[in-house]
Amino acid sequence: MAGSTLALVGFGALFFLLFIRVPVGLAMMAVGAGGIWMIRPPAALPVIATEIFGEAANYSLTILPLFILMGNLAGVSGMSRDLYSAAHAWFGHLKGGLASATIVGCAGFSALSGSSLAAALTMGRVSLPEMQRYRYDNGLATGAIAAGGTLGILIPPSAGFVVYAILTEESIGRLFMAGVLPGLLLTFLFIVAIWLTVLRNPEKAPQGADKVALAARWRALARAGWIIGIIVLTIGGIYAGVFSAIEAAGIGALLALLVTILRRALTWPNVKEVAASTLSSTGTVFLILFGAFVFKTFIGFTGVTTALTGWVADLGLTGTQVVIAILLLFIVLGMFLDGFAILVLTVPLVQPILQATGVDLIWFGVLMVIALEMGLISPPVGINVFVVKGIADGVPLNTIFRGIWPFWFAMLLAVILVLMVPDIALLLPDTMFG
Amino acid sequence: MIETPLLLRRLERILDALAVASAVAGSLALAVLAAVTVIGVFWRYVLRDPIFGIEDVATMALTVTVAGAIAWGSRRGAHVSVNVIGWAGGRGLTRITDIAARLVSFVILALATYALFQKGACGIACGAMTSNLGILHKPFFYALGVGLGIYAAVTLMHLMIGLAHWAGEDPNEVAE
Amino acid sequence: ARDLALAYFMGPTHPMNKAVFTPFAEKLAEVSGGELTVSMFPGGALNSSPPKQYSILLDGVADIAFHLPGYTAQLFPITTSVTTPGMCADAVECTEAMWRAIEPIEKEFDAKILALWANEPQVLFTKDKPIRTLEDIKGLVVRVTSAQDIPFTEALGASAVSQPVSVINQNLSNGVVDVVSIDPSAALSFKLSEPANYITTNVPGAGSAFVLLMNRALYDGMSDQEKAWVDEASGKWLSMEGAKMYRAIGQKGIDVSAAAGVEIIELDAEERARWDAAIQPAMDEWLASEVGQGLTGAQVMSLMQGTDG
Ligand code: NA
Ligand code: NA
Repeated sequence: MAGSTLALVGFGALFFLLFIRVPVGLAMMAVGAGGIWMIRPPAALPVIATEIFGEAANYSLTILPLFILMGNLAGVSGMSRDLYSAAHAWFGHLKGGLASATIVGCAGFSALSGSSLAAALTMGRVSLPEMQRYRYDNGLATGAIAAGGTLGILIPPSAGFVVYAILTEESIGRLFMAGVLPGLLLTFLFIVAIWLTVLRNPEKAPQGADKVALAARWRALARAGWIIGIIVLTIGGIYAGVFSAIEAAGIGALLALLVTILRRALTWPNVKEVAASTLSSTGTVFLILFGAFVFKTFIGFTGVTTALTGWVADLGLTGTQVVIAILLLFIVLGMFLDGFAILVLTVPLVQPILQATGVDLIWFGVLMVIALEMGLISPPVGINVFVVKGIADGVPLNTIFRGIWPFWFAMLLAVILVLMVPDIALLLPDTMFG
Repeated sequence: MIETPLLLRRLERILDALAVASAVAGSLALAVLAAVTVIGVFWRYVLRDPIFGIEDVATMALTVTVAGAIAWGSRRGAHVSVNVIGWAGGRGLTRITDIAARLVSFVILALATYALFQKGACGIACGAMTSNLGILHKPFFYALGVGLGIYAAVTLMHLMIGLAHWAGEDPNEVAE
Repeated sequence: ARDLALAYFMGPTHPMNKAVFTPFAEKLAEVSGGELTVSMFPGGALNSSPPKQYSILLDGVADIAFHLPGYTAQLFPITTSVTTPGMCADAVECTEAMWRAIEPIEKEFDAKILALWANEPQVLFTKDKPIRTLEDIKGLVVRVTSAQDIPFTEALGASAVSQPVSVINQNLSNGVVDVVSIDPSAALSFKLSEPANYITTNVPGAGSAFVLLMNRALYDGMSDQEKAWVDEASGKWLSMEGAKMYRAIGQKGIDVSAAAGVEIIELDAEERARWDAAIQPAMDEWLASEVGQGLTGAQVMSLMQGTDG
């Protein structure tokens, strides 16, 4: 079988295995190993072992468990609650202010956590009861949590950027910096979306919290000083070049641990919970990476990327046109597939095309992550929506999905803005290390 | 409600114990990884005396963390799959496709386990050591082999429990 | 007709493709009349981890692989001895040196050597601290290329760190390391001429080894005719092409840096003698040590330098 045909059959087999619910990592590993076996039989098993070991011993990937740990410690130490309380004190009384406070809380927590699910879960647990107490519309409340949580993979640290960096051999530090301004932009657009929603339907946010006195606002902000301090130190440290992204994750985890100890939250149940969920999330990402790299090697053997690159070159498309076409594909795939699955499946295929057309891979990485965020909340398969459903008893799934649309369009607008003004993504990484 | 047969319940307890042991090993390795990272920064920035090859220790600690995470994650349902079929068809369909899916998962995990042990055994002759300190990769290949092996056993157990619950609900079915 | 898979982790525009991989492929197709052909898998398509290239060759994932023996120096102690300070003066001389020792070197590889060559001796890239004298490097943090450089670097009074080449540009730029010790072509391949303001040359050092290998079982299983074709398309002549290319891009690295305003500091003979004296204790230790296959450092050196009579 010709290489390109085999690659096509491989993708078909992969989608079938995904459809019958084979775990994403194992589906890729099985198809990858099977495909390699058809091309070079003796290579199949060694590739599995080499790629698994290669990723499990990849120094750049030490960052993953470290910042997952940091995020979990921020949760048990109560630092994430502080963040929400501060946002609540400052914005709670405004129109739709509790939903906006949720978004700000999510954005802040995202600066400590690399996972969208963790951000939605952690902030959802604190903010949903508040919004329900003030009789916010369920769709608006849960939509804000689901959407706000997606900031977890755009604002650094981000597991999405780490995996993208590993696949494309781009710098993790630069990608992290590239996510900062788009993350702030999207936070702002989410708040605008809430404001417009409430403007059209005031009954969605019938009452605000009482206005908090200025002194109390500052006190709330001061209590959040720890978490803000860690965020400034780690992200600022990467930007200033004081330490690498990996070292920032290590330092961040240590500081989060110290705060946990200071607040007497380092109880045995908390230790167990932090260890269990840190390992669980680590396992999730690494199994997908193992599969992705075996699959990537299979794709390498087929030579299909060369064929695709040639085909795109023959079409005479410009880099921007290619980027738009790929983003549209991501948004459609995002309806059905897990974001990480899309990332690891498509990046090995599209990277050579992007490089051949001269696209900046850091810029593309940011666009791609926002497109994946859209997939996290879009029906029918929106992982973040399912997570929010898990903490919002009695709210039907359909209500949550109806609530996400303002946020989905805000993300689309963010994609368009970053497409038109690449500097939103590239300004910080380009000025880094001045 | 269908009872899970006694033998499978015993197997489940054994695998639970192994998963917890993996989690303990993985957590300790994670603690080493975090400590090594912080110590590395401290020695380089504060003491201006970098420790040569400390990355080698970090990467080997990472392999143990990951091995533990994979095994532990297999009992926590951490290994994500795409659940479109759960919407498209009912239990009548998924009880059949789940058998196929678990069979595929088991086979590839068993092959991966075998491959890791075989490759790990090659050792120094294959250049399997860290670049700076020359730490042998062999035990870390084995650790990953054990981690994936536990996952393989868990998958096989889910396959059998699924068959035992053919007529009713599957306790291990992918949940949303 | 048989098609062989050649794997390398750099991109297809890397100079070694032009100097070594493609000439080998073309020559093999030519001498065999198209009976033996080569398919290239650049960019790490078969495995992107540089240290793993030898391993994928042994496994048969690739038929032919490009490898840096320095990544697993313990496995190739005689080959990597070429990087010992003072062993040889430039890429071509260092390549000649290794071919003089080809007999023990061949025993280190469980593979057929198609080409074996070296790059230029390392130079020192610095950003804030020009290194003009031995005193200038004392107390600095130096990113070294391989573990063998450590005793010599520390003998100069500096601290050695290891770091993947992918991060050296960034780390020199933000001061994580003070000095990057690497061959001068890195000025181009890793854009070190951008963060660096000074390059110090003529420091104690020598080239690093590179090798193009063929899977042994594959070679042994070939007919005598096929083996003859492979032998004709490979060997010392091919190695010298790699060496000449490294010498050329090393010089280009220095020239481009100088044109970009980087100050090139060449240690004069008197200053160099002070550096050599500083590393002499470490050198004596290496010369007396057993390197491999029962050979001491001194024996390997005289073999490589052709002074063993
Ligand atoms: Na984040
Ligand atoms: Na979706």
